[in-house]
Amino acid sequence: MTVSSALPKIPDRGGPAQPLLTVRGLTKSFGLRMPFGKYSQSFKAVRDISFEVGKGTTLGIVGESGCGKSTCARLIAGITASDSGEVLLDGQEFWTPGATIGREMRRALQMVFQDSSSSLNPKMTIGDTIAFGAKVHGMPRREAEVLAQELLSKVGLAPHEYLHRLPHQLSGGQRQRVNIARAIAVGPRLLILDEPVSALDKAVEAQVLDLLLGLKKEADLTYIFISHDLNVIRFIADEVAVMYLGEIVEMGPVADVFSRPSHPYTQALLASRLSLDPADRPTSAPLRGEPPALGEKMAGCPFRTRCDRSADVCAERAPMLESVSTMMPRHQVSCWIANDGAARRGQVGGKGV
Amino acid sequence: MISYAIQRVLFALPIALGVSLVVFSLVHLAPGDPISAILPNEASEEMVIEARREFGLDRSLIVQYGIWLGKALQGDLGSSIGNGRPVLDEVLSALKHSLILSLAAGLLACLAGVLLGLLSAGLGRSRWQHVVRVVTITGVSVPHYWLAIVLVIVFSVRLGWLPPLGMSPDSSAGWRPDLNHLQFLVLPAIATAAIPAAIIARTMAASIQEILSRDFMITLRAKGLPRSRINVHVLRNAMPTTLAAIGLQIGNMLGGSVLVETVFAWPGAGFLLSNAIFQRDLPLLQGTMLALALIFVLINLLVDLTQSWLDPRIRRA
Amino acid sequence: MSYLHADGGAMIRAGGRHAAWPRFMKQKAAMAALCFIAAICVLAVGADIFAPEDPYRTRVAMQFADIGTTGRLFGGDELGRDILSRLLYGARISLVMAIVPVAVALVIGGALGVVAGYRGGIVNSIIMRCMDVFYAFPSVLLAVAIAGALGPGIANAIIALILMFIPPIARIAESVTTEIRDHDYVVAARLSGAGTLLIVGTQILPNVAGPILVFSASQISVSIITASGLGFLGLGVTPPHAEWGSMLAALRQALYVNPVVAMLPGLMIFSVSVAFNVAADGLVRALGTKQ
Repeated sequence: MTVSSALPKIPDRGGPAQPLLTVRGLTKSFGLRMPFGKYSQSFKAVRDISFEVGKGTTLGIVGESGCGKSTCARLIAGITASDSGEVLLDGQEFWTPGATIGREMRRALQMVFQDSSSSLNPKMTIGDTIAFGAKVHGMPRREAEVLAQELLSKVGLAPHEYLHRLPHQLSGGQRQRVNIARAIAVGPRLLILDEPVSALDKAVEAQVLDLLLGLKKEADLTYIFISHDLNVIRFIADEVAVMYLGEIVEMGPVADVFSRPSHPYTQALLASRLSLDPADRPTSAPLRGEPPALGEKMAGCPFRTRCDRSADVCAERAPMLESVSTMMPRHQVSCWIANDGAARRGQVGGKGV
Repeated sequence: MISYAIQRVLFALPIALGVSLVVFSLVHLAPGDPISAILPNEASEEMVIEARREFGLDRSLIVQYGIWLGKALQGDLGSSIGNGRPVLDEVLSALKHSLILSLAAGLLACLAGVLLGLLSAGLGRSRWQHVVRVVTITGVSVPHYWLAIVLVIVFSVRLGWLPPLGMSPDSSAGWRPDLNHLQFLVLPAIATAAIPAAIIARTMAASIQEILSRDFMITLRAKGLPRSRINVHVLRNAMPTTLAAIGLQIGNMLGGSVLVETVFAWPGAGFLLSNAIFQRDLPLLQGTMLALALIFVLINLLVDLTQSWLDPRIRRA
Repeated sequence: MSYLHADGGAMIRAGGRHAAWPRFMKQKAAMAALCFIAAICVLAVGADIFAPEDPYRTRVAMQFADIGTTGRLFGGDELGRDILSRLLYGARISLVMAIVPVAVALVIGGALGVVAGYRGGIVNSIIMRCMDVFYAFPSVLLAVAIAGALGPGIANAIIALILMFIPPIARIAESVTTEIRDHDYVVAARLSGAGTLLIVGTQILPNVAGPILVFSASQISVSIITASGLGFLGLGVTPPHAEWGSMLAALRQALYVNPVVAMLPGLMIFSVSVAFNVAADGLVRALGTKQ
């Protein structure tokens, strides 16, 4: 990135073929607090999630609110301790459950949060907020201030005007630009963006998305972009993972998933999406019902209570994430009916479709 | 609700245990050997050793605490060094007198507090709010022992209407709710009630203000509900907070009236405590503190349960 | 439990408000209270200059002398000493006992509360359950019992008052810290690699200091009432030192002889207590209350 003062760039290790982020078997349960303070019940917020993110690409994670996508982000970043699983960053272990993350390792992965009253320290000036991380990593005070100024102009805010302002003197879009500047100030390789544009209005949203696309190229970044808005995901992501009740139910290149959604949930999500193009309107019915209550124990496929084509096998065993067809190995779906391989194994006695 | 109640009771038990530990430690905070307070100054070496064994002071502190707690659980709080009577009897009779004073003061504080609280918010006139604000700030700032003295000066010394101290015309007989006895109650009750009344008024006014500013009030007004009906809604919503304040203040009065009881020589638990302090009557000090703190825990528990029964949202996890 | 705990209006929004001082200055009552406190402080510090008499000089002829007597402008006490001089000298101890316990409890209770709130979990449970035990005593009773057990003396009275104020301050500190510790900006600071001390210093403290300070300020008035109460019971200073509470107790002898003089020390306690309360109330308004 073309700034005069920056922290040393984190060297690449595995070459372009090695995924920047590898997530394996990520699982997290939360206890529902019951009387007498015992965890008498727990629900899995995130269950056995695995995926990879290639260098320089963007993975979009999409799903309804409460599906575990934010928890997933926090687990990967090591903010919330996970029950099990591992996260590799460029082939190197990022954290193991229970261990703390080293400072130098830490800066490779940063997060941008949804704009809210709590995303910026209300008592710190914008300049101090941006310079904070760089100073933590040993950058001298003067240099960090210069860096903050340069990053401000990089994210499209005039430094002399905004450097000494406090968060409450900024608009939502401006605050989000500051959030982005803060995240890239420590020179990360991976940014996890948790609903970064959800609180912004449409015009500002487009500007921030453009900014993110530009920065990604310029600073050689990789993104995990979390959103509930399919249009945003389609615009910014290369790959998409659809989450339902803490699991990835469908994953693959954006073009494939959007043009040929395989999981009934993905289809329903796409059907309920707003579109101005009459041709761009899948035919299946939008989603009905509500997700099951927290802590409800379910055997079989978690989606079957809302699915209109469930078969006997769906109630018995949970499906696995498998390739839709041998033709498209990267487009994976977790559904007994949609999945080619599963269907061919003769386990489906469908009553729908 | 029942499981919540059980949970709260179970939660109060370790608190009560902690309270007993603090009360026990109090005596060991005291500088010097507690035995020196028990024995006359000219006691011989053997007498000291003998007394130490008798009071168990030669054992380790943990053992002493265990023994003391075990006895206390059976109602044995030892005997007063001053007059040799069982501490429990002393404490119970003093508590009865404190209860009389607290009830009278509590009633007074509720009446005055709720009235002031209603006045500040109910009438909605800024002038009244201002007056009530001045009254409540003055009320919470008044040193109650000084107020007690001022009351004595005005009503006993100058006007001669009410007795300046004591609890009854003849000290031997017990307390009865007749005019002769009630006149002794007036001044202590007013002095004890002043700060609690101001706090109740303040809490209630703040609570009413907060409810009036909520969105559902706009809905009620928009629906064209008559003012009186709206007021019912407001009061119902302000009730739990106000009740909590009242409960806490009554608990505070029972234990916190040391100073007022001293001014009026009202033979309650506070008076007993200050006597125990100055005579260095340690068993009596421990016993009184323990009783007062346990009653305070109990009142807090009752307030908590009542409040959560009225408003299930405030149950604590 | 304590006198100001029940006040529902005293919670301040965590962080975010600025330029409180001009808003404070606009409030006439609060400014007047502040000026009054400042004046009392000046008089107390300069008691050597302002006091017309030696506060320890007794004159039997001046026992319970009337207000306005020459040489005994505010009357004479039970030993004929000058009450005005004793009130001025007494202000020293009374002000120290109003402010020092709250200030020390602010540091200790604030630290305990912030640590409990920031660490959460078992650390929080241990600290806050200990606080709950002290909360289980009526506050004045606790102060009287501790001071009583320790024996008379200013230092002991101050220790008792500190112990009385730590639990409520720790509770406020814990609740505001818990409220902000999972805010995204704190998480972002953790992500940037900052250690716990740096995060608490830069992200937590600046945002919780306001509410904790305001609550503590409101406790100063409670402190002066209780401190003088300890003096009144004979648990404060040892004679012949002047302190308002013990002066009030001694002057009870004058109740029938010269009631106006007997009320004077209490009037001082009352007015200073009102002033601290009005000033604290102004601070709450200046910082904006949480509604």
